[in-house]
Amino acid sequence: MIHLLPLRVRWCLWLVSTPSDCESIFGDLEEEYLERSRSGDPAAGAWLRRQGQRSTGPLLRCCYERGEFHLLFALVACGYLFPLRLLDLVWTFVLSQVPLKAAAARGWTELAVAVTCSATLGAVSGWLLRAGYGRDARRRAAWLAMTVLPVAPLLVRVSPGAWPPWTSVLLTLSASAALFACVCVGEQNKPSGRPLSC
Amino acid sequence: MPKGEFLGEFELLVLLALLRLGEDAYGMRVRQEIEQRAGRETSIGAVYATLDRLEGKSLVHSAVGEATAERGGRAKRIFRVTGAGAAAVQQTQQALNAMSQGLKWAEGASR
Repeated sequence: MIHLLPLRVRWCLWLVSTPSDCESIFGDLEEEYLERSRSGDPAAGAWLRRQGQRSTGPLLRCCYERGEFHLLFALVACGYLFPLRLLDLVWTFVLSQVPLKAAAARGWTELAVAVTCSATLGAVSGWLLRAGYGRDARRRAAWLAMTVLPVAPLLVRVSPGAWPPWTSVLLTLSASAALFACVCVGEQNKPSGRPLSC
Repeated sequence: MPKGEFLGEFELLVLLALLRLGEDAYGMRVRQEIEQRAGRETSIGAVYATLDRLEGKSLVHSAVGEATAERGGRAKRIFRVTGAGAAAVQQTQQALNAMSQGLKWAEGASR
């Protein structure tokens, strides 16, 4: 019955919870959903969807408490990159309508997007380095793919002449700083009394 | 108890639910117990996040239970309160009782 949860909710829950938590949560939701539907509750489906949506926030906070800072980077990236890109598109369109201003349209937003993407990639790599490659491999691979995919086309764009030469240094620095932060600060934030499960 | 080790309100509710449920304490039952007794609607994610935090503080420990067909073949995770967990509940309850002792609720509410 877990398929009644929207795919994006299942995907979010899977990304932010440890493998054991994820299995227990999906099992619990399925069991309670069955209980409710057997007792004739017409709102069982709505209840399941509401539970799935409301569970992501606390689990995300729990990830942060476990020292998984890559999530914070990814959230920041999603939180401001999409509006920024939209603004860039609108601004480009407006400037293209003004004579002699069309050439000034591009530049700074693409750089900001590139820096944030490389920092997110660095953060995810730091998380992978710190936690190792264990039973949580599929979730880690998904995180890596999600960050590599947007970065790859941006790196292709960083060709000689497209951006000033210092931009590649800036991108490398931002990725390295994020990687270092996730390895070192995450290690300090590791909860005591229990091995880091994820 | 040193500063920083007092239980939060929801942590206390979860630990009390675990103590009430005994052998049958797993995520779904804890959520239902809190909803029925405390009248507080809560998500399963919040329950597991709190249980993880409590396990990190060694106030509870968990073991994998049996998988059933109702759960889509997924295993239960059964939680137990440790000795330190029971002591933390007792100390927090005592602190709450000491703070609320002698308060006149009607006057306090009207202010």
